[in-house]
Amino acid sequence: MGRKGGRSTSDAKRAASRLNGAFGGRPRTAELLARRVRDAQSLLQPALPNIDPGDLGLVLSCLFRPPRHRQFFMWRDKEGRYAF
Amino acid sequence: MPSSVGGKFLAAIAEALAATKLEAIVVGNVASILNGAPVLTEDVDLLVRDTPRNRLKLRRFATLIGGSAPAPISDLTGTERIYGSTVPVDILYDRLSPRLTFGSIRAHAERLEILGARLTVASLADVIRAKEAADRPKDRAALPILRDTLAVKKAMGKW
Repeated sequence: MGRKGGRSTSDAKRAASRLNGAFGGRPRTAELLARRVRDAQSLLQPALPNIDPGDLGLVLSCLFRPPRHRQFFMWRDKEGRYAF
Repeated sequence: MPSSVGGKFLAAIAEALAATKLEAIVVGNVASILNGAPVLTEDVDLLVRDTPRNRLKLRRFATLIGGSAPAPISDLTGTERIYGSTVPVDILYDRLSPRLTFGSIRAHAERLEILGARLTVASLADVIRAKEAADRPKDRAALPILRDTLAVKKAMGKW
């Protein structure tokens, strides 16, 4: 049983994994989020002229994150620093 | 991307609510954040019906999340607080304002999943109404970004 040699993944998957995070390669999660926010902001900003562009970007980046990845709380740790 | 500390704590709250069969609605700024508002808070606010059975369930709920028994915050309010968990949990009973009753808030609330557990979350419009009714300085400070978030959500719905 177990691995008997040879390739564990397809050529396409190996090529994609080599490009992870590399310049010009497959975008990382943060880049995907940033692009999604930018695209939505360019569409929505004309319809929402009273909303500050910085605030609109913050709202969109919060809306596009799954709830489990959002920051909720602020409290002081044992050394008196603020933690989130 | 790892889950945030807050995300894990809210999942623990959802599991404890399910284990105790306590019907509660997340209100306050945690509800704002779950609705997409970019704000932070220092506690969790839960709205429950004030019944003797729910008071018993709340004691067990507090134990499950690693907190103290719910105790009144002051003589001036009916709100109770659970200390000792990751962040304090405030328990509000029956209503947020004369018009914002448990039933009316639940009618507009949404069920959200966090790490496999489900929470009932007040709508952003109801959170805004509650803050307008409370009208404390901290509520007034939060209102502009909450109103902006509601406008963005409405615009995205048309988009």
